Amino acid sequence: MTSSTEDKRPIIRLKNIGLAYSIRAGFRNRSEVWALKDISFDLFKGDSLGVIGGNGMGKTTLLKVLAGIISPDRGVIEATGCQTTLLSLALGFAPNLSGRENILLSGMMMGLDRQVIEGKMEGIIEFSELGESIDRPVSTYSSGMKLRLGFAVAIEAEGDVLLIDEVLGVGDKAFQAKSSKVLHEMIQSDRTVVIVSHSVATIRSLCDRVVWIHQGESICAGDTESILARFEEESAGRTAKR
Amino acid sequence: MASTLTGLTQPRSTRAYLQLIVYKARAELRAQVSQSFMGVLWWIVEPLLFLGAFSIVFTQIIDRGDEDFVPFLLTGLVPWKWFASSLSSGCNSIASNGGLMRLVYLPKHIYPAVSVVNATIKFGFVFCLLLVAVLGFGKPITAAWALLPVIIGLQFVLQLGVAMLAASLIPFARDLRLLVDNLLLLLMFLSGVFYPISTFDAEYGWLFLMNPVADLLSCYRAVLLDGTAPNLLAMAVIAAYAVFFCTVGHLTLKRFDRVYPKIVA
Repeated sequence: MTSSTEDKRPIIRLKNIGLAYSIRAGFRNRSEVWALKDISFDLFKGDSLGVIGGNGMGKTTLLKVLAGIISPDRGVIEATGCQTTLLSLALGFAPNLSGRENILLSGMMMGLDRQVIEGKMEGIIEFSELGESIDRPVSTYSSGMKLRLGFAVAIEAEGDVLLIDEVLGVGDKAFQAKSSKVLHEMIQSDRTVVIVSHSVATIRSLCDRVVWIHQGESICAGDTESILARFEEESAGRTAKR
Repeated sequence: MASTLTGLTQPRSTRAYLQLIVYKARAELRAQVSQSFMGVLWWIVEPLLFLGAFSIVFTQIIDRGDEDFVPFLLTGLVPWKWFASSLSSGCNSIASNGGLMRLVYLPKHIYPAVSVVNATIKFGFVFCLLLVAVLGFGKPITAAWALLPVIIGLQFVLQLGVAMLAASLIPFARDLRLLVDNLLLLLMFLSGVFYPISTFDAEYGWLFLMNPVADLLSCYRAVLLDGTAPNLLAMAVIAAYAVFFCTVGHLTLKRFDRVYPKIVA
């Protein structure tokens, strides 16, 4: 990574973030579940940060906080005015609209000007490998085709920070290879990427720093190898105990 | 509320949001059209059936005798339908868009705005038909018609405000959704869609004046049926309601902007 002085300041800093979902049953019967309890870490420009942890440990909720979608109930976020983009497996396409119309719509929702997306349209269609299907309604697409389209749009959206939720199983083998090549290229370049996964292999191949999340708390953060080593040791220990 | 997240999503221009609202509203309409057998014809057939049903009931079954009653009814029903459809889809727009809300940050004002714009596009077609019908009933085009865009504009802002406020509250108590339909029904009967307000004693006049929907209908009728300028006081009342609802709706949506994705299932 480039190492000028301005890169030393985090573009996003989370301090003791906590977030509760309230569960309501009836009029006065409410209870709270803290999905995130105490999360702290820094994200630097050009970082490729992996967030590792088991299922239900708060990884996806954390991405939604980073995407500015939900606000935490406690803690502080310091962000320097960057545009974060969430790339999720279940991107919300309108099933009755064509692929082309959905590209426009999602691009505009991600904050691009209509003219800008129209300029990128051919590139997105080419990357998605959808060919003539692009003018058919998305409801006729297979799930693989939808994922390819979603990935292609998000890659072209050019946010400052790309947030990725377990996305590397997208499409067939050839497309997987292509998408992981693009991700690798983005990570090599100056793009800032946060990848959430429970797969050690994915994180190892893509990230240079890792945060380990367990039951809504950030346990530790550091370089990929040392954190993953501890994570694997812990999981191996837990499997052995069973 | 411990922290602000504004640093995570760059502010976009109002133009970009307007582009998005209009595109989304049109896309939804295209999707609806592509799903139905008769497509865009429904936009005209459906209101015709609706208007036809009311006309038959009031001219044949409940005999009003008066030959001016049909244009009177139409000028009330068309704007009423626009108001009711904006509100009944707009009030649910946040509660029903949880999936999208959890994928991408958008100011929550977008969702009710899309519903209202969507209803407005359909209204545009029907309103043109209404103008043709009014001319067909022998009403002349007068200088007062120049005020129609102002009345339509006032109604648009009013129902945008009401839709924003309703949409901002319903996620907290879904039960309110049931209330909205019943309130709409009540409002329809209280707003003089079927009867001229003048049938009531003058002492009740202020009650109708305080009702912005009754004011709207009387404005449309003054212009389209009598060819006169609408009552300025009525327009001021509508504008006051519009400002009130837009302000309260905007503030509530802004306050809970990044809370809705959490509470909407």
